Amino acid sequence: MTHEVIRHLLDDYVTGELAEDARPAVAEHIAGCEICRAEVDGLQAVITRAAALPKSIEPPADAWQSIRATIERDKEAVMPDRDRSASVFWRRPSAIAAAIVLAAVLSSAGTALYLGARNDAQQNQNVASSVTNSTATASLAAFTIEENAYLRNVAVLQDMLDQQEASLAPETVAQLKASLRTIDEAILEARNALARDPANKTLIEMLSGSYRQKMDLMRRTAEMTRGS
Amino acid sequence: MLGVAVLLLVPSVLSAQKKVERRLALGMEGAIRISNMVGSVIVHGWDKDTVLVRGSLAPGDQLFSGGGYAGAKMFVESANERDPKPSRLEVWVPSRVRLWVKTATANIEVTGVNGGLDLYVVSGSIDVTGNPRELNAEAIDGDIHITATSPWVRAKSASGTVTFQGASSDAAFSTVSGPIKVTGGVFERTKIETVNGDITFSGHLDRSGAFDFDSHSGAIDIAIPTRTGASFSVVSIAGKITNSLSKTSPVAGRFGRGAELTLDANGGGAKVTVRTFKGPVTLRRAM
Repeated sequence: MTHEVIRHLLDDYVTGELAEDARPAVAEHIAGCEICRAEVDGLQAVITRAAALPKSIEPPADAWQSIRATIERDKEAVMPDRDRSASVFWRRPSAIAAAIVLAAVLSSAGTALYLGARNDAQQNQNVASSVTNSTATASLAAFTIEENAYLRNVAVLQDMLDQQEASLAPETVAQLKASLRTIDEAILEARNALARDPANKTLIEMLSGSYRQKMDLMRRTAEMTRGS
Repeated sequence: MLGVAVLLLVPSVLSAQKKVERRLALGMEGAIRISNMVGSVIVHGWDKDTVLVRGSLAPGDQLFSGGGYAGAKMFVESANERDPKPSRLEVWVPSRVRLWVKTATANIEVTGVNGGLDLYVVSGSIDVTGNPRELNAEAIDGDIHITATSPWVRAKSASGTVTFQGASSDAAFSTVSGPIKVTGGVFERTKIETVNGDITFSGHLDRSGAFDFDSHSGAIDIAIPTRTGASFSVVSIAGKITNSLSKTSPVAGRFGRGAELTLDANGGGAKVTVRTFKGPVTLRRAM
């Protein structure tokens, strides 16, 4: 059996569900294959950790009250002007909470500096009078978090794809690169627009959407080129 | 992991193009995973607790299959993994199974399977007909065509076309440059996004539903029946907004650029949010 075939069987091998007559060949391969050995080690670690978990966990008695209080507080603090067009990301409690923390330490000018458009930002802040400063700052702060995460994730995914490129057909690689270029161009265009107009929540949401789409495409490609 | 009780490996020893036929017992609501990198995988649902596979394998390829009543696997191992030749599988499965199929360039066709579907291709195409309980179809540069009524649908391609004809209470479609065409019956929660592909939507909006359309530069065309109650919020940074649903005209964007349109059709109802950077947006009555 080849490496690719054996990778299909590793989960069953680790859980003991693999047929007895197939186990020796798989074990022999694992002994000589660093990749499969690492995958088996990883699977065994997951199983060990899962086995150590309690069967059930009782939530603390006051858990719901605490959750409810946090939701109510976040709603008031971050969404005074609720916009139903806001993406799901902005409604996530973690993003909102992070936005609150950062809003306290990041000034609009600081964020604009991060965006590389301080002068334009000052001009455009006047235009964006319908958006409260606190909302804009919170949005930008949360966006900054997302953008940093995006940059880290893209770097990791790019490394994975570079390693897997040989397993893809050249036409697929070309098509994938074209798609990533298309997203990058959209990101650049939206990024430049945001630099000129940093309070524009729609642009922030669009840019967030493009980031997510790029990461999703890279992740899907990486997963598809792995063994099942 | 499928929780397969016993995986029996039954290779077909081949020296030339070869027909194979094999049967496995599988519960009506079991799970099956099928993998074939090049060629085609055609799957039909039927009312038997049996899997039947008929195939034509490339020279030297082997078909492995096995599993238990709760779950089964089958996959084609190519004789030359660096240059695999097409193998074709036609598989009949219990109609309510959870089906997982993965290929590279092989096309996938599924008809009449009503359980959950997870279908993955790199550059092959995916065609689904039926009423699956859940449907997740992903391609990198392949086309995805779905004719189905399903409570939950996800379809993603980068440069391929995505078409959906049917109805769904929770649907999401995504491409980078491929066009997306969604038509048919009633939709509730729907999200359609692309970078520069065109979006065409023509369907009934559930009055309590939520609909999101996002594009960077592709055109967005939304056609709804005359009496549809919907609340539209359209924002464009640099694209043109054309509204044929009412006399309401777009106004200058609140951030000092682009255009916005807010309107309630027939007293409002379904929340429709459209965002585009520079693609044109058209709202109109369905023909």
